[in-house]
Amino acid sequence: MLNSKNPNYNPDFRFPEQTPIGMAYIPFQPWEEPYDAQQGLERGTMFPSLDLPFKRGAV
Amino acid sequence: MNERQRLLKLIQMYDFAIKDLNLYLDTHPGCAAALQYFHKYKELSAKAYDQYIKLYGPIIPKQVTSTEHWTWINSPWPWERSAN
Repeated sequence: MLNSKNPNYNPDFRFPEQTPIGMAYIPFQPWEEPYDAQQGLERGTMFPSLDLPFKRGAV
Repeated sequence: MNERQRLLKLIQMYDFAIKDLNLYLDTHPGCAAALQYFHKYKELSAKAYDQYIKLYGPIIPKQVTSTEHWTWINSPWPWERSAN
C-alpha cells in the first residue's frame, strides 16, 4: 500500500461508497515528517508519501 | 563544488522546500507543524542568500546593495563561460 509510508494515513480518507462517478477526487494528504531539504530537492518532493515511483509504462 | 556553487545549491534546496511547504499549506492552512517548517526554511534561505550576495553579488537586480555603483553588471552574464 503506497500510503503505508505515512504513519498519519487515515483509511477514512478513502472515498466513501456513495462517491459520485464521473468526478475527479484526490485523497487528502495527512501531515508527516518531511524530508530534509537536500533529499527533498533530490526526490522532487518534501513528502515521503508523495515520493512515488513514476515509471514510464507502469508502476 | 566550490563555495559559490555550494551556496547556490543551498539556496536551491531551501527555496524548493519553501515552495513544497507552500503548496502543502495552501490545502492545510491550519497545520502548525508545516508552518513551522516553512519558517525554518525561510530563515535558512534568507541566510544563504545574504551569504551569497555578500560574497558573490546579487542574484537578481533588486539585491544590489551599493548606492555608489551598479554592481549588477559585475558578475558574469549567464552566457559567459565563467558563470557556468
